[in-house]
Amino acid sequence: MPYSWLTDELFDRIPVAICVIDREFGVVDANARFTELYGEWIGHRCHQVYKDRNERCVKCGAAKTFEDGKTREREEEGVDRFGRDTHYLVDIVPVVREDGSIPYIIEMSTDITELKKLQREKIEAERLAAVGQTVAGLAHGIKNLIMGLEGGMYVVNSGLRSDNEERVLQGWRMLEEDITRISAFVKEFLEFAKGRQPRVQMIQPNDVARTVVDHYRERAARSGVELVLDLGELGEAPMDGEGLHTCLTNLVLNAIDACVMSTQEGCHVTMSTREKDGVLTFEVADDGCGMDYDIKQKVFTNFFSTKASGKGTGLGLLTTRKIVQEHGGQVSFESSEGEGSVFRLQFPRQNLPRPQEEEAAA
Amino acid sequence: MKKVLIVDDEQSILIYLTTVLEDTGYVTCSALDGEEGLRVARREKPDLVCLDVMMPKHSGVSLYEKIKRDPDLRPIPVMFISAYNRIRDLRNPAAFRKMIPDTAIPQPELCMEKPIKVPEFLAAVAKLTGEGPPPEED
Repeated sequence: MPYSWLTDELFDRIPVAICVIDREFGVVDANARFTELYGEWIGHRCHQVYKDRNERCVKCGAAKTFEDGKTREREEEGVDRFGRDTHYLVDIVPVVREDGSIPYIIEMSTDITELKKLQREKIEAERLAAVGQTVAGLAHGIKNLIMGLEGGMYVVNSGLRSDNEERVLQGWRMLEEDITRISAFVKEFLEFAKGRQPRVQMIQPNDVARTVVDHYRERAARSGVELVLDLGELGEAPMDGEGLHTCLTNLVLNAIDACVMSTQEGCHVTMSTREKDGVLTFEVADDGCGMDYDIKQKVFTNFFSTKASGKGTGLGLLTTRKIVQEHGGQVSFESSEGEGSVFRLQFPRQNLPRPQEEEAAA
Repeated sequence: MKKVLIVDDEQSILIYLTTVLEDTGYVTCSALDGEEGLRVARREKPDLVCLDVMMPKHSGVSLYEKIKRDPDLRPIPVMFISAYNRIRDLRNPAAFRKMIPDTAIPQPELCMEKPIKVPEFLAAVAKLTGEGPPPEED
């Protein structure tokens, strides 16, 4: 190919690894940065150079671009010339002849290994911070449980001292209830700690909102609460549908509880969705009891629950926040005592994870 | 006999504190939430109110505010009992004013952390109802 010295210079000095691949997946040209990163490429196939493997990649982006002529961008993992694992962001661009045929594609890759490492470290730091908060919250829960156990023992002893069988039984029931609570706490706590792998796919988020509202409409009505759905225009989005379902369920159940605790009759819970400036927003609003200052301070603390014992374990909002953060989103709320609360989940599209199924990415 | 009102959303805590106090010779009344607490306080005119901080309907802090705004109930001493680990902050004027900015509302007479120690609890109750020697607080 006839390059002028200027284009040669540009090709070599640009800080992005560039290579040209033919229809047999052979690397036919590459710039200096590419050679620096992946080593020898003359006479090699792209999968040998990038990934140090002899077979073609299972979900080969290059093959797809040869097929459909579309430009694609994706994140890949490979091995550099020193055998180190690398992460790179690659743009795959077709070289199209006048007759529409595609003899070559160009791949431009940026090394994001360091960025990935920082990202992992950040996630780990956040996880450790969450563990710290969890331990503090756990101490709070344990203090309540100890009070229950000590109370049960006191009442049993008091009954024994005064030869009051009724009181002994009452104390014994307190002990039994407290032990049941301890089991429930431990189970839920372990589930929270273990977490689950998010399964990201292209979904229609409004479908999830609709499912949740349909599922709880009757239950809300039985508690005298009207559950209202107000869907805005929302495009498809790469999200963990099950995780989103958990979040919206938690918010709806909390809102129904807030209505039940309210002194007002005929409360409403409204789930609304909208998309504006690339941000997907879900809102669950209620005109229930609302929260006062001290409760607002503790909204995201584990095991903090204002619900009567046995009803709330205090992990719902914390789990919700965890799932929302995994999507690069945020949870916020506003609340006035006696007037109600609004909980809002916001997901900027640019932060959303990539779908796990390659077909959806193409 | 002195009368103590206990307000807590946990039935087992009510039974516990009621038993402790009745074994010691106090008369008790109780309520499971702030609203009922206010009604019972007006009806029974207790000598002391023991109050949990976080409860449905009106949280403990709101009930406290209502008691201290009511000219009839205002003189009744109030003891907060909570597992909330910053409960003792309520005794710190700056922290307390963040919760209740109105300076017309005085600070609570005493704050105790759950789980309670029975002797310490009884000593505090005795002091606040004017029945005995002052308790060792904090």
